Amino acid sequence: MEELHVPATSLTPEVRLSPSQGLLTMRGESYPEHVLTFYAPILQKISAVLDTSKLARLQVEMHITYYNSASAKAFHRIFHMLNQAAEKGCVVQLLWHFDAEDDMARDLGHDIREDFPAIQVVDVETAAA
Amino acid sequence: MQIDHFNEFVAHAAASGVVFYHSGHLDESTVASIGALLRRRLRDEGASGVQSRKVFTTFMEMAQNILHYAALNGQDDGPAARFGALCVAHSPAGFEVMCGNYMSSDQVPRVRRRLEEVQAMEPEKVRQAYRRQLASDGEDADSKGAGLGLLTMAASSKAPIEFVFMPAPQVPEGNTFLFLKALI
Repeated sequence: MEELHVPATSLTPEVRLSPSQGLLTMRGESYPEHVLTFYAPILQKISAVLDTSKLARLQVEMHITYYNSASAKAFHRIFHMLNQAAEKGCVVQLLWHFDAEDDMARDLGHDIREDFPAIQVVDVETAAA
Repeated sequence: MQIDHFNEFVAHAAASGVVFYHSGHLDESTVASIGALLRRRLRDEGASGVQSRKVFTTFMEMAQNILHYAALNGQDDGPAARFGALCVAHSPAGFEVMCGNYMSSDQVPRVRRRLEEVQAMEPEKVRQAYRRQLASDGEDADSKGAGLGLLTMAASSKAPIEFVFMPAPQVPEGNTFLFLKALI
Protein backbone atom coordinates (compact mmCIF):
# COMPACT_ATOMS: atom_id res chain seq x y z
CA MET A 1 0.00 0.00 0.00
CA GLU A 2 1.24 3.47 -0.87
CA GLU A 3 2.71 5.89 1.62
CA LEU A 4 0.98 8.96 2.91
CA HIS A 5 2.85 12.19 3.43
CA VAL A 6 1.12 15.42 4.42
CA PRO A 7 3.59 18.31 4.89
CA ALA A 8 3.25 20.54 7.95
CA THR A 9 1.61 23.96 7.82
CA SER A 10 1.55 26.59 10.56
CA LEU A 11 -1.77 25.11 11.74
CA THR A 12 -1.42 21.42 10.98
CA PRO A 13 1.25 18.81 11.69
CA GLU A 14 3.35 16.80 9.29
CA VAL A 15 1.81 13.36 8.94
CA ARG A 16 3.71 10.42 7.51
CA LEU A 17 2.37 6.91 7.23
CA SER A 18 4.60 4.22 5.80
CA PRO A 19 3.01 0.77 5.76
CA SER A 20 6.20 -0.82 4.38
CA GLN A 21 8.27 0.48 7.30
CA GLY A 22 5.43 0.13 9.82
CA LEU A 23 5.69 3.80 10.80
CA LEU A 24 3.20 6.53 11.55
CA THR A 25 4.62 9.93 12.45
CA MET A 26 2.81 13.11 13.40
CA ARG A 27 4.98 16.11 14.10
CA GLY A 28 4.25 19.78 14.61
CA GLU A 29 1.28 21.80 15.83
CA SER A 30 -2.38 21.11 15.36
CA TYR A 31 -4.80 24.06 15.40
CA PRO A 32 -6.95 23.84 12.31
CA GLU A 33 -10.35 25.47 12.64
CA HIS A 34 -11.95 22.66 10.68
CA VAL A 35 -10.33 19.71 12.34
CA LEU A 36 -12.36 17.08 10.52
CA THR A 37 -11.50 18.49 7.11
CA PHE A 38 -7.86 17.92 7.94
CA TYR A 39 -8.11 14.65 9.89
CA ALA A 40 -10.91 12.73 8.11
CA PRO A 41 -8.71 11.67 5.14
CA ILE A 42 -5.87 10.77 7.53
CA LEU A 43 -8.18 8.69 9.73
CA GLN A 44 -9.49 6.97 6.63
CA LYS A 45 -6.01 6.16 5.37
CA ILE A 46 -4.86 4.80 8.74
CA SER A 47 -8.00 2.70 8.95
CA ALA A 48 -7.46 1.34 5.43
CA VAL A 49 -3.83 0.46 6.17
CA LEU A 50 -4.73 -1.27 9.43
CA ASP A 51 -7.52 -3.24 7.72
CA THR A 52 -5.65 -4.38 4.66
CA SER A 53 -1.92 -4.44 5.39
CA LYS A 54 -1.98 -6.93 8.28
CA LEU A 55 1.00 -5.21 9.84
CA ALA A 56 2.98 -7.19 12.40
CA ARG A 57 4.28 -3.98 13.98
CA LEU A 58 3.44 -0.31 13.86
CA GLN A 59 5.60 2.33 15.48
CA VAL A 60 3.72 5.54 16.09
CA GLU A 61 5.59 8.72 16.83
CA MET A 62 3.51 11.61 18.17
CA HIS A 63 5.46 14.81 18.49
CA ILE A 64 2.78 17.46 18.74
CA THR A 65 3.92 20.58 20.55
CA TYR A 66 0.57 22.43 20.56
CA TYR A 67 -2.90 21.14 19.83
CA ASN A 68 -6.43 22.46 20.22
CA SER A 69 -9.19 20.52 21.91
CA ALA A 70 -10.78 19.43 18.64
CA SER A 71 -7.42 17.95 17.55
CA ALA A 72 -7.25 16.06 20.85
CA LYS A 73 -10.54 14.47 19.82
CA ALA A 74 -9.06 13.42 16.47
CA PHE A 75 -6.01 11.91 18.24
CA HIS A 76 -8.37 9.99 20.47
CA ARG A 77 -10.01 8.45 17.40
CA ILE A 78 -6.62 7.49 15.99
CA PHE A 79 -5.65 5.83 19.28
CA HIS A 80 -8.95 3.98 19.27
CA MET A 81 -8.16 2.49 15.85
CA LEU A 82 -4.61 1.64 16.90
CA ASN A 83 -5.88 -0.06 20.03
CA GLN A 84 -8.25 -2.21 17.99
CA ALA A 85 -5.42 -3.19 15.64
CA ALA A 86 -3.26 -4.02 18.66
CA GLU A 87 -6.01 -6.22 20.09
CA LYS A 88 -6.00 -8.14 16.79
CA GLY A 89 -2.29 -8.86 17.12
CA CYS A 90 -0.43 -5.91 15.61
CA VAL A 91 2.30 -4.74 18.00
CA VAL A 92 1.64 -1.03 18.37
CA GLN A 93 4.21 1.11 20.12
CA LEU A 94 3.42 4.78 20.68
CA LEU A 95 6.25 7.20 21.35
CA TRP A 96 4.51 10.07 23.11
CA HIS A 97 6.76 13.15 22.99
CA PHE A 98 6.01 15.99 25.35
CA ASP A 99 7.66 19.01 26.89
CA ALA A 100 8.83 18.18 30.43
CA GLU A 101 6.92 21.20 31.78
CA ASP A 102 3.69 20.43 29.96
CA ASP A 103 1.51 18.74 32.58
CA MET A 104 -1.52 18.50 30.32
CA ALA A 105 0.43 16.58 27.67
CA ARG A 106 1.97 14.37 30.34
CA ASP A 107 -1.51 13.61 31.71
CA LEU A 108 -2.80 12.88 28.25
CA GLY A 109 -0.04 10.28 27.80
CA HIS A 110 -1.11 8.73 31.09
CA ASP A 111 -4.76 8.67 29.97
CA ILE A 112 -3.87 7.06 26.65
CA ARG A 113 -2.09 4.29 28.55
CA GLU A 114 -5.19 3.67 30.68
CA ASP A 115 -7.82 4.03 27.98
CA PHE A 116 -5.99 2.03 25.30
CA PRO A 117 -4.24 -0.78 27.17
CA ALA A 118 -3.28 -2.72 24.04
CA ILE A 119 -0.99 0.10 22.90
CA GLN A 120 2.53 0.21 24.36
CA VAL A 121 2.95 3.85 25.31
CA VAL A 122 6.49 5.15 25.79
CA ASP A 123 6.89 8.62 27.30
CA VAL A 124 9.58 10.70 25.63
CA GLU A 125 10.22 13.83 27.67
CA THR A 126 11.82 16.67 25.80
CA ALA A 127 13.62 19.52 27.52
CA ALA A 128 11.42 22.49 28.36
CA ALA A 129 11.09 24.94 25.49
CA MET B 1 -13.88 58.97 17.62
CA GLN B 2 -11.80 62.01 18.39
CA ILE B 3 -8.06 61.53 18.23
CA ASP B 4 -7.78 62.54 21.92
CA HIS B 5 -10.23 59.78 22.86
CA PHE B 6 -8.21 57.30 20.87
CA ASN B 7 -5.11 58.48 22.65
CA GLU B 8 -6.80 57.93 26.04
CA PHE B 9 -8.05 54.53 24.92
CA VAL B 10 -4.51 53.46 23.98
CA ALA B 11 -3.02 54.89 27.20
CA HIS B 12 -5.69 53.17 29.31
CA ALA B 13 -5.01 49.83 27.60
CA ALA B 14 -1.26 50.18 28.23
CA ALA B 15 -1.87 51.10 31.90
CA SER B 16 -4.10 48.00 32.29
CA GLY B 17 -1.27 45.79 31.08
CA VAL B 18 -2.91 44.91 27.77
CA VAL B 19 -0.53 42.78 25.75
CA PHE B 20 -2.98 42.27 22.94
CA TYR B 21 -6.48 43.39 22.10
CA HIS B 22 -8.76 42.84 19.15
CA SER B 23 -12.43 43.58 18.71
CA GLY B 24 -14.01 42.99 15.36
CA HIS B 25 -14.35 40.39 12.67
CA LEU B 26 -12.24 37.27 12.78
CA ASP B 27 -11.37 34.51 10.39
CA GLU B 28 -9.02 31.55 10.59
CA SER B 29 -6.02 33.24 8.99
CA THR B 30 -6.38 36.31 11.24
CA VAL B 31 -6.50 34.04 14.28
CA ALA B 32 -3.38 32.21 13.09
CA SER B 33 -1.41 35.46 12.60
CA ILE B 34 -2.59 36.88 15.91
CA GLY B 35 -1.56 33.62 17.59
CA ALA B 36 1.97 33.85 16.15
CA LEU B 37 2.23 37.51 17.20
CA LEU B 38 0.97 36.67 20.68
CA ARG B 39 3.63 34.02 21.17
CA ARG B 40 6.39 36.52 20.33
CA ARG B 41 4.85 39.08 22.69
CA LEU B 42 4.63 36.52 25.50
CA ARG B 43 8.32 35.78 25.09
CA ASP B 44 9.07 39.52 25.27
CA GLU B 45 6.87 39.80 28.39
CA GLY B 46 8.98 37.13 30.06
CA ALA B 47 6.33 34.40 30.21
CA SER B 48 7.71 30.97 31.12
CA GLY B 49 7.42 28.15 28.60
CA VAL B 50 4.52 26.52 30.41
CA GLN B 51 2.74 29.85 30.98
CA SER B 52 3.16 30.84 27.36
CA ARG B 53 1.77 27.47 26.25
CA LYS B 54 -1.29 27.80 28.48
CA VAL B 55 -1.98 31.39 27.44
CA PHE B 56 -1.69 30.41 23.81
CA THR B 57 -3.84 27.28 24.26
CA THR B 58 -6.56 29.26 26.07
CA PHE B 59 -6.40 32.08 23.55
CA MET B 60 -6.82 29.66 20.63
CA GLU B 61 -9.78 27.87 22.25
CA MET B 62 -11.45 31.23 22.81
CA ALA B 63 -10.73 32.46 19.29
CA GLN B 64 -12.03 29.25 17.75
CA ASN B 65 -15.11 29.42 19.96
CA ILE B 66 -15.84 32.83 18.49
CA LEU B 67 -15.57 31.42 14.98
CA HIS B 68 -17.78 28.41 15.80
CA TYR B 69 -20.49 30.13 17.83
CA ALA B 70 -20.90 32.96 15.39
CA ALA B 71 -21.47 30.29 12.76
CA LEU B 72 -24.03 28.54 14.96
CA ASN B 73 -26.06 31.61 15.60
CA GLY B 74 -26.82 32.24 11.98
CA GLN B 75 -24.39 35.13 11.78
CA ASP B 76 -22.19 33.23 9.44
CA ASP B 77 -22.63 35.07 6.20
CA GLY B 78 -19.01 34.24 5.49
CA PRO B 79 -15.93 34.76 7.58
CA ALA B 80 -16.39 38.55 7.71
CA ALA B 81 -19.57 38.11 9.75
CA ARG B 82 -17.79 36.47 12.67
CA PHE B 83 -17.45 39.13 15.29
CA GLY B 84 -15.68 38.78 18.61
CA ALA B 85 -13.39 40.41 21.12
CA LEU B 86 -10.11 38.97 22.39
CA CYS B 87 -7.75 40.36 24.98
CA VAL B 88 -4.59 39.27 26.80
CA ALA B 89 -3.44 41.43 29.70
CA HIS B 90 -0.44 41.05 32.00
CA SER B 91 -1.34 41.72 35.65
CA PRO B 92 0.54 40.97 38.90
CA ALA B 93 -1.69 37.85 39.24
CA GLY B 94 -0.60 36.48 35.86
CA PHE B 95 -1.82 36.64 32.30
CA GLU B 96 -5.53 37.36 31.92
CA VAL B 97 -7.01 35.91 28.75
CA MET B 98 -10.47 37.17 27.85
CA CYS B 99 -12.91 36.81 25.02
CA GLY B 100 -16.36 38.01 24.11
CA ASN B 101 -18.80 36.82 21.50
CA TYR B 102 -22.43 37.09 20.53
CA MET B 103 -24.80 34.26 21.25
CA SER B 104 -28.51 33.79 20.88
CA SER B 105 -30.28 34.81 24.12
CA ASP B 106 -32.33 31.60 24.23
CA GLN B 107 -29.06 29.69 24.72
CA VAL B 108 -28.12 31.69 27.81
CA PRO B 109 -29.69 29.42 30.49
CA ARG B 110 -28.01 26.32 29.04
CA VAL B 111 -24.61 28.02 28.69
CA ARG B 112 -24.87 29.61 32.14
CA ARG B 113 -25.58 26.19 33.71
CA ARG B 114 -22.60 24.69 31.96
CA LEU B 115 -20.30 27.55 32.96
CA GLU B 116 -21.43 27.34 36.59
CA GLU B 117 -20.88 23.58 36.57
CA VAL B 118 -17.31 23.96 35.31
CA GLN B 119 -16.66 26.90 37.66
CA ALA B 120 -17.50 24.70 40.64
CA MET B 121 -15.12 21.89 39.60
CA GLU B 122 -11.86 21.24 41.42
CA PRO B 123 -8.88 20.85 39.04
CA GLU B 124 -9.03 17.05 39.29
CA LYS B 125 -12.75 17.11 38.38
CA VAL B 126 -11.96 19.29 35.37
CA ARG B 127 -9.42 16.73 34.27
CA GLN B 128 -11.89 13.85 34.67
CA ALA B 129 -14.61 15.76 32.80
CA TYR B 130 -12.12 16.54 30.02
CA ARG B 131 -11.25 12.89 29.76
CA ARG B 132 -14.90 11.80 29.63
CA GLN B 133 -15.68 14.41 27.01
CA LEU B 134 -12.71 13.30 24.93
CA ALA B 135 -13.94 9.73 24.91
CA SER B 136 -17.58 10.56 24.27
CA ASP B 137 -18.96 9.96 20.81
CA GLY B 138 -21.58 12.64 21.14
CA GLU B 139 -19.75 14.96 18.83
CA ASP B 140 -22.47 16.41 16.64
CA ALA B 141 -22.00 19.23 14.17
CA ASP B 142 -23.55 21.69 16.61
CA SER B 143 -21.30 21.21 19.60
CA LYS B 144 -18.01 20.97 17.68
CA GLY B 145 -16.38 19.79 20.86
CA ALA B 146 -17.49 22.97 22.61
CA GLY B 147 -17.53 21.37 26.04
CA LEU B 148 -13.97 20.22 25.48
CA GLY B 149 -12.89 23.78 24.65
CA LEU B 150 -14.31 25.15 27.88
CA LEU B 151 -12.70 22.34 29.88
CA THR B 152 -9.36 23.05 28.20
CA MET B 153 -9.61 26.70 29.29
CA ALA B 154 -10.59 25.63 32.81
CA ALA B 155 -7.66 23.19 32.98
CA SER B 156 -5.23 25.94 31.92
CA SER B 157 -6.60 28.61 34.27
CA LYS B 158 -5.38 28.87 37.87
CA ALA B 159 -8.70 30.46 38.91
CA PRO B 160 -12.23 29.40 37.96
CA ILE B 161 -13.31 30.78 34.57
CA GLU B 162 -15.16 34.07 35.11
CA PHE B 163 -18.09 34.98 32.90
CA VAL B 164 -20.47 37.88 32.31
CA PHE B 165 -23.57 37.94 30.11
CA MET B 166 -24.41 41.28 28.56
CA PRO B 167 -27.97 41.28 27.19
CA ALA B 168 -29.97 43.87 25.22
CA PRO B 169 -30.20 46.88 25.15
CA GLN B 170 -26.39 47.00 24.95
CA VAL B 171 -26.60 44.45 22.13
CA PRO B 172 -29.28 43.83 19.48
CA GLU B 173 -32.54 42.29 20.77
CA GLY B 174 -32.47 38.49 20.93
CA ASN B 175 -28.70 38.44 21.35
CA THR B 176 -26.43 38.33 24.36
CA PHE B 177 -22.74 39.09 24.47
CA LEU B 178 -20.83 36.56 26.55
CA PHE B 179 -17.47 37.43 28.13
CA LEU B 180 -15.11 34.79 29.52
CA LYS B 181 -11.93 35.28 31.51
CA ALA B 182 -9.15 32.85 32.38
CA LEU B 183 -6.09 33.54 34.54
CA ILE B 184 -2.80 31.90 33.64
